[in-house]
Amino acid sequence: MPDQSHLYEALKHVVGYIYPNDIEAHWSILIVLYPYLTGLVAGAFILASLERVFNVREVRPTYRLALLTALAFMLIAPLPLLSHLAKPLRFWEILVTPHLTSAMAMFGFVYMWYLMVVLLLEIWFDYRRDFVVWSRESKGFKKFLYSVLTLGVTDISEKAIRFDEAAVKTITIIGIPSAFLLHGYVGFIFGSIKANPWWSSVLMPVIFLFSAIVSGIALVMLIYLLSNKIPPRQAEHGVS
Amino acid sequence: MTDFPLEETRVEKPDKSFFVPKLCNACDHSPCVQVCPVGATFETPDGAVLVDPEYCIGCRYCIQACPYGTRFLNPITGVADKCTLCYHRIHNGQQPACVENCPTQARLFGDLKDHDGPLNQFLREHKIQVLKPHLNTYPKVFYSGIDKEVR
Repeated sequence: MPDQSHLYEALKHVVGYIYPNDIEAHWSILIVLYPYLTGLVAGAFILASLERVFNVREVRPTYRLALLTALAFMLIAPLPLLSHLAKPLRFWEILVTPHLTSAMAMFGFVYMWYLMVVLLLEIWFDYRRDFVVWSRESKGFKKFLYSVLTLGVTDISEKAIRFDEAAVKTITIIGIPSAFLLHGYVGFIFGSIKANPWWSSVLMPVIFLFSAIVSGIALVMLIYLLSNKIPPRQAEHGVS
Repeated sequence: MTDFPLEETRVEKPDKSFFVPKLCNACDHSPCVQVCPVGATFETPDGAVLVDPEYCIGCRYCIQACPYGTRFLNPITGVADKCTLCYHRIHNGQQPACVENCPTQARLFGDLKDHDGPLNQFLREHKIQVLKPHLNTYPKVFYSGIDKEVR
């Protein structure tokens, strides 16, 4: 049995009666961290789409950086959720036997859609030409790695490159509503809890989305500033 | 926590106070059943809401979703837990422990589906309220003669 002495310490300060769940009044800091991370993902992706879809030329140097930031934070976003579970080894039950009325279970599908269909596909199409070039230039393990990443598609004729660019643009157009879905859905997970009057609001997805856009763009700005302090990599983000 | 000036906190004297025992309301539309991501919380055919301790992943979503605050994380098993309405007892023809032990027989337990049974008869003859009716959870725990201020 885990140490419960801190609860007895807290009980001294309780006036009146308490509910059985009063020791679980807060959903813990990890649950706060997780919407923060998915917000950074959605915000960074929206910054990337500014360049691709809306042709905002000023943010062009941050395009790839924004995509990679989104991918990096997307991959670690479930970690706080996982470590918050009381039985982390049973997490796969959410994916294998999801309960369809549960907002949390359906988030698994939203997450997988965004990760597999939007982020990974867009990054692969964007980097495919580079993967082919790098796999020809490098040696040893790096060569093997880049060859695997091309997935066997080594055609870099002008026609193939044009197809890549068209694909990236299409995925970005699908990706903007998907990014809104991703983080709006996180807002819905909280907004659908009627028991908590501070959460149960239809505005929760909107609040989450706006904070996501602000924090995601701020994160890419910060990483861009810091990465430009490393001299040899200065020009890399401009290549696209 | 220990430095918190409890003595200086002004405690207003209530005009009227109630004694309201709170327990799992065995809702017909349970928020906890709805939000469980793996379906570990389920409603039995006879209307009790139970947790499968072998299946619960301990995400605590149900603890947040219960409007009556009757769910908790069992510190021993490490999974969500709740009042079972003494499911093991009522299936042996016994009353729930709280009903049997109440010295003033303030609690009644019975079959809601039995239209002419003693419980339904009591519900018809008394002023009955449920807690937080605006949340549309349709509780199967009823309070007789309770003030509407009680939440």
